[in-house]
Amino acid sequence: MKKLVIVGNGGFAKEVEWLVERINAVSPTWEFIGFIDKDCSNPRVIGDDKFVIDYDGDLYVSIAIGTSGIREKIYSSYKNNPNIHFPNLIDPSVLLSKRVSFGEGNIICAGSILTVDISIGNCNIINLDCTVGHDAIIGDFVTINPSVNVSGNTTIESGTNIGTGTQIIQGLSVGKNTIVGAGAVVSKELSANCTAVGIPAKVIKVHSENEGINERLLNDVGDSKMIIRTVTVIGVTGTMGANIAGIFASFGDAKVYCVGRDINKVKKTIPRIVKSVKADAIAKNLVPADFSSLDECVSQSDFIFESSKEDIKVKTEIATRVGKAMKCSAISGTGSSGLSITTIAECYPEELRARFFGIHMFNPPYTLPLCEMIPTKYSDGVLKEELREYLSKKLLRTVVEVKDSPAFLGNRIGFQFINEALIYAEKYKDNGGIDYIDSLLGSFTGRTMAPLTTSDFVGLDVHKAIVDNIYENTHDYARDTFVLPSFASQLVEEGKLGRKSGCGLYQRIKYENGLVRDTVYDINTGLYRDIIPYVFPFADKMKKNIQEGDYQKALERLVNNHSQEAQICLSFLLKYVVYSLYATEEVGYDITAADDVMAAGFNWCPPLAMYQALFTVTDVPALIKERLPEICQKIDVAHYLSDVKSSKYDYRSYFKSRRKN
Amino acid sequence: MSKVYILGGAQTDFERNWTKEGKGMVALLKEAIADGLAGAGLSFDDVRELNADNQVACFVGNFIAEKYVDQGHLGAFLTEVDKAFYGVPSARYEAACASSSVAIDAAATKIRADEYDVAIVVGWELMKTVESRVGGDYLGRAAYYDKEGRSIDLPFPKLFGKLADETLKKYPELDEKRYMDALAKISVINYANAKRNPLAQTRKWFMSFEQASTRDTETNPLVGGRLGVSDCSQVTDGAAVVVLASERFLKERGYENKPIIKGYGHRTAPMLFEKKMADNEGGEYTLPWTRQACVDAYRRAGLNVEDIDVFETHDCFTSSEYAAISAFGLTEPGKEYEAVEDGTIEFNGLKPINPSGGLIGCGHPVGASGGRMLLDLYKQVTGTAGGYQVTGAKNGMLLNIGGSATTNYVFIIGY
Repeated sequence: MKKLVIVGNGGFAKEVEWLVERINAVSPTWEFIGFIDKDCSNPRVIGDDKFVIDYDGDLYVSIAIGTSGIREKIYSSYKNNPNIHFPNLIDPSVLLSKRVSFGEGNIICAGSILTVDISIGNCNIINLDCTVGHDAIIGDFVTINPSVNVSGNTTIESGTNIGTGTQIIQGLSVGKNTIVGAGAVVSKELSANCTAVGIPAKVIKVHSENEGINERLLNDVGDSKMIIRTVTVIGVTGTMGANIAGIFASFGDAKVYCVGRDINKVKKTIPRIVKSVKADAIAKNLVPADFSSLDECVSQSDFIFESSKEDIKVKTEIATRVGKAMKCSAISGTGSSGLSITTIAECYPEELRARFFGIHMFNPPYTLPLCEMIPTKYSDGVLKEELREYLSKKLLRTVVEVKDSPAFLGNRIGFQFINEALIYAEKYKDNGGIDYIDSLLGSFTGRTMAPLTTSDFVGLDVHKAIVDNIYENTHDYARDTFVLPSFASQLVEEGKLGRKSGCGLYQRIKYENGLVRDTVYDINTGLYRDIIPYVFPFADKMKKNIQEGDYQKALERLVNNHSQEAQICLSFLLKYVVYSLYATEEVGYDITAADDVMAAGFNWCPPLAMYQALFTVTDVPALIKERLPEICQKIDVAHYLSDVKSSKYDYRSYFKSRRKN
Repeated sequence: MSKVYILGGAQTDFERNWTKEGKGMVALLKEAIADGLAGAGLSFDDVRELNADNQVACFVGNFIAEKYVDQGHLGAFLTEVDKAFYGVPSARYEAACASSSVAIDAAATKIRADEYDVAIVVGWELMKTVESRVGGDYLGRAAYYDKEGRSIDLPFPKLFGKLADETLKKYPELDEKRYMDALAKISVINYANAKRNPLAQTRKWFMSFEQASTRDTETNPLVGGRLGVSDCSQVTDGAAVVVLASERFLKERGYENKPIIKGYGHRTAPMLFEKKMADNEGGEYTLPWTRQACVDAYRRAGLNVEDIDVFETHDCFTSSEYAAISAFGLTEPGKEYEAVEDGTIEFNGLKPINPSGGLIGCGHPVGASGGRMLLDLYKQVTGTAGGYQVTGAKNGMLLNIGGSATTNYVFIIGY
């Protein structure tokens, strides 16, 4: 007896199992060994696609999946294994003459009648109680539902789906990849790639060119192959966890178990999550939970997202727990920004490591769509691509694949800039220090917020953790620029972490009478003093140019002005371009990753766009040689500049002109 | 008489807040014109050359820069963009939110009359210079300000809320929930379409049917009658440039496969909303002059609704898109919900409306919307609409209205 598997785990697969039994009752042919499906929680499922693709020895496969497009994909993937055969399964009660020709892999169900001179291709399904008349031609991967009458001399082209009870009048053809709704009467030719319903059948929808049959009449925007209905987000009381729960509950349209240590705190966070995506409608998707029900939440989830404290002990404990409870078809991710993703992956049982990824999002995710995706050496390649599609199409993230490297790519580039700015603040403390440097690198240089203001906003503790991690674990040419200046370490020790502690690099003082004073930490005196309204002629003129939309004039001025301030400013921009390209080669996979991380993660003029902007007024490689001689000695700058191509981002919107930084 | 060809153009990214960028109208115009000319395959030198023969002119559409940026005489500002515009005839046209359409109409008329070879239409508005309540008051000038706008908070949502009320009154068999759900579906379709449009203001925003159909919540408060925030278009900064040209210019330059303006309609309805509603008594349509403008356009183009493959309409509020459905002739008046419910107007439907996202999805810089719609139709029929391309579009139709459907402009373009 030949070994047979049935691909599919739904209702139709059960019916095909019965069909096989009926064939065996007449004449024992098939040894049915089990179902093939992604979801292996059903004990009758003996494996997934890999089982078939890797099978050694003859195996007979029947693909019992109604959706034509999926059937086609599975068939193509199995064809690579020469030991796989696709028998035609025809129920013993089917009436058919000898003059019906079949390809392979067809399923013809009980009660159907196929008359004479009919040609049927590959992997078609003709369900219960259908009739097919003389001289009919059926292509490949056609799905004909129960009680359909296909009259004589008709043609049904590949990939088409005919709804239950439909009548197809004689002499017609139905085009490829078309869906006919149940109970229709097709009395005219139907073109390809459309949906038709009614009596007589009328086209109500035209499918887009690349749309395969997916039997959903919804907008195709936001559709992805990966279907995630239930999510568990761990660490919801933190800002990032809360915001990520919001993204899953809104764009993901998923039920989200919001897990935190204190369920009361979680409940208080729910309104904040609703506000973060401005939609009361998602409230019903958010289910508060605490760690006592973690295992249950995880066991029901298609996606588990860990967004807990940035502490390896905490994360590995959670990972171990999740690994024990998760479904074998689920995906698990960590939002860690600096810990080793591989180390966390190793807390999972071996067979589940393939389904674990680093998924580093930026805050707030509603406006900063960057998502650094970090597969480990264990991660499954096919799953990775499905995840990428889900994150970008469904959750609207700008996905950049990066290597498991300290701080990944965005923060490495961003905090190199920010930390070097902090180093320069100390170096130029006699010129004013912190606010002096921020005025040189403000919004007129292509960012929304000046670098040290950004550090203050993010938090000096976070800044320190990032640069310490990079300094300790990487050794590139810019390593020394990741050393946190001692005055900043001192501030962290004193708990002066920035905006979240009320003071840090800056301090906003509010008086009882309503007066507000913006002050800055003076590195020389250790005290906070009023911010100085620096006047740098080159910067003022640049701002005026930008205000009028004269970007080239602004950049020309920057390149040709030799004041100390203009030179510092320009050298920072050039260093940023070079380091971005360097780091992207180390940590990323494509040069465009440099642009995506800086635009979508920081809202800074991305490096390729910056290059393009400067290129309108000067020979950039020559300028870099002139202004960054030490860097040119350390690395082969020309190599990194050789791949530069035009940016998909428009540099003009990043150069701003505002009175304040 | 020349046919009026569309060479192309460009629009700015409607997500941008030019005030936050510290930029004003000159910067906006510089970027838009540079991109627009490039999009039409022209350079500033071409403008200079054409002007030497007095064959080029500019047509500016803008509603109320006098309030938003304290500036009038807007036609003259092309001279601030580049010296090539010194001596180029240029003027500003206005009809509230249909200002661009008047500019297009004037430009097309000059081309048709063989007076100029090239007409550069630029519609623009900067609205984020003031906070939204003040801006809402400015917009009241598109209505009869003294009677419908002064001292009224957000007058326009209220006027279009009244349109919703009147629609329910006029068609008593129309179930209220069915109507409000159809409006919500329109909003959802436009937000979803905007996700395909890389220049749409709301492309990162979230909207769902659940959110749009549940009004009077904290995140979807009522803003005018039955309408919620989800039923409203946005406050947007932006510009759209479209370049029109004569047959002679096309042949001279060797342009191929450029569409033409096949027909237009232009009707001005009574100013006061109440008078409009009184005027529609006895008729089938809530907005009979809007319908008439469409009828006029069909007649001039020698086409009918069956011939149109794609529509861009003025969804300043969902209730106005709803009314446009029957104005276009997609359904009988009173039965507009059919086209919403059966998917006809969806992106993949038989007669997609606002594949760009419309005013709700793409944004509504008041003076620019008509120009933006024309540009989007151009992209559709030339197959250059990228992610929001409607397959096989050959004829497109736009409806651009001003005020509470006071000015009604329709253009049909195609091959």
